Amino acid sequence: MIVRLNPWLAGAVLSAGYVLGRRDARAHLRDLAVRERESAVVRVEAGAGMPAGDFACVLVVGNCVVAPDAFRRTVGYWRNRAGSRRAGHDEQLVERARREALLRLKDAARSAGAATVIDLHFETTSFAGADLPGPVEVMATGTALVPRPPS
Amino acid sequence: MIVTTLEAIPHREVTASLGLVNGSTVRAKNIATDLRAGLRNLVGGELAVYTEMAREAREEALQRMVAQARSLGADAVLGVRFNTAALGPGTAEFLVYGTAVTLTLAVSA
Repeated sequence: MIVRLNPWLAGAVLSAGYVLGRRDARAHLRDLAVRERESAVVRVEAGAGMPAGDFACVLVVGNCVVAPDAFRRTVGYWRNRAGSRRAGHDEQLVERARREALLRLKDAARSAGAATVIDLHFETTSFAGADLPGPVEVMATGTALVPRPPS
Repeated sequence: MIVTTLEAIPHREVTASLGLVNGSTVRAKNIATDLRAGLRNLVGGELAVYTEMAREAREEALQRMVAQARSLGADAVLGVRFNTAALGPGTAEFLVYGTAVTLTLAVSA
């Protein structure tokens, strides 16, 4: 690993990762808050209960893959070696991916002409290697209900 | 072809179940050798190339499932579920499955 090759380079990479990673996270959280207000018009339900009316059922999907920054990855690597499980994926990182995936699902529903999504499911998958924290995906799936005019 | 996570469709009745249909693809991307992902490796956050890879892979898996359903003469695939399995670093299988059925317009209002 870099850590053993050159301590100065490693220090620079870790500090840059820490600072830039935090800045990226903050910018993403601000962006999420704004877009979540915009997409609040779409109702999302985990249950599969069908409201009254005639609807076309459209499968909608949203996904997002995120990875920890160099600092968190390195900390996670050493914590994994010390015996704690799957460290380095802080809850905030996965939560960001989850909110982003849900937003993309809502965007897909809106462009299909739906105001309601039912039967929502989340799936989280780690694409990481054996002991280095790596990419994690959150996917959201559901059924968008597109109103049909009475015929 | 109607493809939905639901087990029933409003104003339609299932006339026959044609059994399980599925589609899958395996994709791999090595982040260490992907130059576009190089900076992302440092900063962290969203890896757009991975997000796009997963999206495309599921799209292809869906197309395969729909082709299979169509060859059975199905009108819809119900109870659709996705499953993702990491097979190694940067490698994953994207699976989608559901029940192929034939439909008719519901008689009762």
